[in-house]
Amino acid sequence: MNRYYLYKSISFFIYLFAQVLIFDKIVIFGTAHSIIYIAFLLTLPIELAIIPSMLIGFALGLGIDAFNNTFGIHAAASIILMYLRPTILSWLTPQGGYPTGVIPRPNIFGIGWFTSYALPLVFIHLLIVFYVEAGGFDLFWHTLLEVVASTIYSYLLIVIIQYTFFTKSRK
Amino acid sequence: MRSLLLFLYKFRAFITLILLELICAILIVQNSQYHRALFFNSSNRGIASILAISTNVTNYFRLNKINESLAEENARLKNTLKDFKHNPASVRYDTIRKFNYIKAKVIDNSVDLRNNLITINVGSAEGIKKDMGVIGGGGIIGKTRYISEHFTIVTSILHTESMVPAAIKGKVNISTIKWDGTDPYFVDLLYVPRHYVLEIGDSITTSGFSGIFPENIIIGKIASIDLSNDAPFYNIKVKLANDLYKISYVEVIENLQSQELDSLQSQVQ
Repeated sequence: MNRYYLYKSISFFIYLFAQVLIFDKIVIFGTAHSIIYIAFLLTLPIELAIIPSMLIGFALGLGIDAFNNTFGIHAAASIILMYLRPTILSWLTPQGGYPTGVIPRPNIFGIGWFTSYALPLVFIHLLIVFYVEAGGFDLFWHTLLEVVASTIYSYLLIVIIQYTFFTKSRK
Repeated sequence: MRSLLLFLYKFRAFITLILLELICAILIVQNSQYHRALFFNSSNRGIASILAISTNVTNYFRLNKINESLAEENARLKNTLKDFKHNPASVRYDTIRKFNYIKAKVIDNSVDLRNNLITINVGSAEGIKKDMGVIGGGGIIGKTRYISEHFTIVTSILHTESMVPAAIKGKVNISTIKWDGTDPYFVDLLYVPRHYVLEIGDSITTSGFSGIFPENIIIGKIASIDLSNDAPFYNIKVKLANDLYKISYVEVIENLQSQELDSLQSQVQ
């Protein structure tokens, strides 16, 4: 278990730097942003309690904010994401409950399950990020287009990353 | 008392959520309302040096384009010099030196957000102060906002709070450039009264009224003009002269008379 925590803390920084140094620069048509650091939050163990997971979301979000000069916007969205995650997970509980120590990944639960788990959460996260960044609803439709395009693009990238780097199921 | 504790325990997750969101809200509001330099931004030394390393690597792949833009700028300057030699009377110049240019390198840049900020590698040690103009790539870039010892964050012209006093060359002296938050190649020109006759392609330059930018620095060209029947002002879109996606070296403008100007203006107020 100690090795798992070490591995998780290293991957925290890998996701943080991959996001701010590489994926923040890849914006398609100035509309679709690639926000992949959410994958770290989505793939935390299922039984992790809600308060520690919100604190982890806060820390990662604040790290992204520091590099992006967005001052707390990503942190605010990440906390809400982590607050809603247990609810969504409980709606999607398979028959017989979750096995202990399991991690919600598409290659363990299947792509259909992962989509219904991750896609709404990514959408809510980006909804908050883009509307707070825009400072209100002045450019409502333009911002909504950005949110929808970014959700699809980021979700695809997250799934590709999951299948590329995590072929074996880790416990 | 016991029931209160039980209540708090039952809603501990929700209470944590509210507390953490409050912290975030304070961070966001402090930044946008009070323009206060906080610890968590890219003028922080550790963060800026990581960004600088990353930019050093990516700039290496763009050397061709950087060279090209430098060569263009060189050619433009040589042409001005040639005009000056042939016909000294054609160039207006003051005997008092008003502006000083400080060279800087862009280490972080964004254009796709609503409020874009640029980080450059000069700071208070090089004499940068708040609200200095920044130009580059044959156009204007923005003005300085947060200054640390070796790094500065610049409010890009592509920021919803950016306003630059502008002039239409030879026609209108008082107007303002502002970004509407959508297309990073176009900005709006505001407050041009309807009695002026304008044409597509008219040059837009800085007016020099704010004291931040010298006058006659090119901003862009008029791309479209629209005038509805009851509006007192034109709706004008201006295509920026520089491409903010591609800037890598910029100049910060120090107004050598800003102290005198500020003290005079504060007397009036």
